[in-house]
Amino acid sequence: MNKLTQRQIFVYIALLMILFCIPIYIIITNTQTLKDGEEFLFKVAAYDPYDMFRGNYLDISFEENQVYSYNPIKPNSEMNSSYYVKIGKKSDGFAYFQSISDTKPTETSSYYKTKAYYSRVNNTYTIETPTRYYMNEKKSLRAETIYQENIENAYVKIRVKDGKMVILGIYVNGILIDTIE
Amino acid sequence: MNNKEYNFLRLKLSELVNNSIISREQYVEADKHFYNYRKDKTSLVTIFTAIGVLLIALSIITVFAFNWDTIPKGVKVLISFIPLIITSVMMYRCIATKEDKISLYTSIFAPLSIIATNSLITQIFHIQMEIAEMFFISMVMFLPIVFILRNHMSLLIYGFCTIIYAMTINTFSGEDLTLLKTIFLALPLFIYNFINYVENKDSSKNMLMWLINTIILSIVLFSKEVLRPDVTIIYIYLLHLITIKLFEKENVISSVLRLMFILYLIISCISSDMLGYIEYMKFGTDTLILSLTAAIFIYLSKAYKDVKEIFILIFVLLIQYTKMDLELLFILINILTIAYGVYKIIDGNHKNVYGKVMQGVAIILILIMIRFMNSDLDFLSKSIMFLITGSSFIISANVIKKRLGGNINE
Repeated sequence: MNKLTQRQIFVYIALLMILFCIPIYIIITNTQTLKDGEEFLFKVAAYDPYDMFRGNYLDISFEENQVYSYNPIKPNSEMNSSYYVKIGKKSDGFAYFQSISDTKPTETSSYYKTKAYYSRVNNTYTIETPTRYYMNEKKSLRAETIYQENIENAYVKIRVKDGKMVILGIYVNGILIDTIE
Repeated sequence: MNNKEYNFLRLKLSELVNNSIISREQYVEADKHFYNYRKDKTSLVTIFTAIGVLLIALSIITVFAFNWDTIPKGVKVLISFIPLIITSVMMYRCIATKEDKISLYTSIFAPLSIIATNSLITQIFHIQMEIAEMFFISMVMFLPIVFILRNHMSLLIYGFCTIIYAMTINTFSGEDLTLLKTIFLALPLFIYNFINYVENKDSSKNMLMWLINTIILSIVLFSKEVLRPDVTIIYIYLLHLITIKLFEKENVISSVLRLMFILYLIISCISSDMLGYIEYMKFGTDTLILSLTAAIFIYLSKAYKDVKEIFILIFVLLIQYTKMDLELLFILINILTIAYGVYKIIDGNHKNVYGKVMQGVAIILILIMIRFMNSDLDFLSKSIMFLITGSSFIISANVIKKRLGGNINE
């Protein structure tokens, strides 16, 4: 094999940077949120669909996913852009979306940056929340059944930091759904 | 003689014509003579071996996937980088040796390894990413490889990924492709042709291809509201293939029809088990434009004499317009695709045209991949199927090699 010329080494290093930096960046940002983010519990609804590349997952939807706002906070042309949503905790320990804004909150790092859709019918924003919880294909159907049987005691544990939300796990009666046999 | 040497000879021959040393007729005769000496670097044995290795690699990956739950998170992350590390080693060899064979293997392996790594990472961390978004990130990562390798295979695979991306973004995300993304997706074609033109200034072919593509992009920019962006991208790539074919020795119209047919069949296969997409395809402008283009080509060229596939194309188009049971439609399209692939392999083998055999293999392979990935089979069954199919490709490659007496380039 020939030795690489200086130009070829430069091209090769640039290629490695592009190939590895993107996935590593994705991993680092998620790990940071998992490590330092504030923990919240949300009630969810779930069912079991399939992704052609990543196998089975539980499709989850947050029960509390709306924030009241008398008027839309952005003009129509920017309706589909990102918003900052603050998360609060109710007396029962579960979380809810407290307020929505188009500016980054400065007093806390526990906010979630996401898209939201305004409805003039009930003057609320519907917040776009995480929808996928990947599971082993052997367990996902069983997980859906367990979930349906214990719908009142099922919730998703998440961590939030600087606009990023990462799922820790779905729990039924306090037990991680992946570990239920 | 490889393609570069053949092109060099053609260049020198055209210089002789320009200097009136030989006549135009003599040039054509000499060109025909040298064309026969051109050995296809992408031989059947190489392709079969590459496909075999790829399928066995997929089999190993699916075995890991089967036991995924029991593996610790850190190890999972490390495993997800293995395909990328292999691609990096292959790319090093490509840059260092410039071997056509390694370059071909890498063109096939790299996009799959990138998609595999991204899929695994998003799965491990439950990252909220739609298929379209993941495909887009994978294509951004694959783009530099396309430019470094600069072979038709990587460009075609990029084009194929582009089409899948364009289809998924409309079908699953409910979002339209933005103009910026449309340009980005079509960009490699323009840069690719432009670099080829700059590096090989005598080649009027590259210049013409570059011009044609620029015109197409301009049309796209102005006709965004007329055609759906995903369909437009399909046409950009289709027209690019046509421009390549324009300069080959085959009947251009026949080639265009064949390419149209293969592309449409693949799209139908992917979409045939997606209820929403069938509805979308049935009444879409793409079906209408394809039917019209096919009709014009048939009328102008009487190509139906050469291209029997046109009858199957019309059949596929017609059944998509009927209110046929969706399951039956799914089975029919898949059977048609397998039959067409097998026909290509047998016909190519009979006529000793390995290009045809390769087309047949590619069609069947794409179908296998689509069906395996999109089926409800568990990972262990998928792994066994990949292993069996991969091994049969390698065994076939060895049988062919032995029959050819080791002369794998023939």
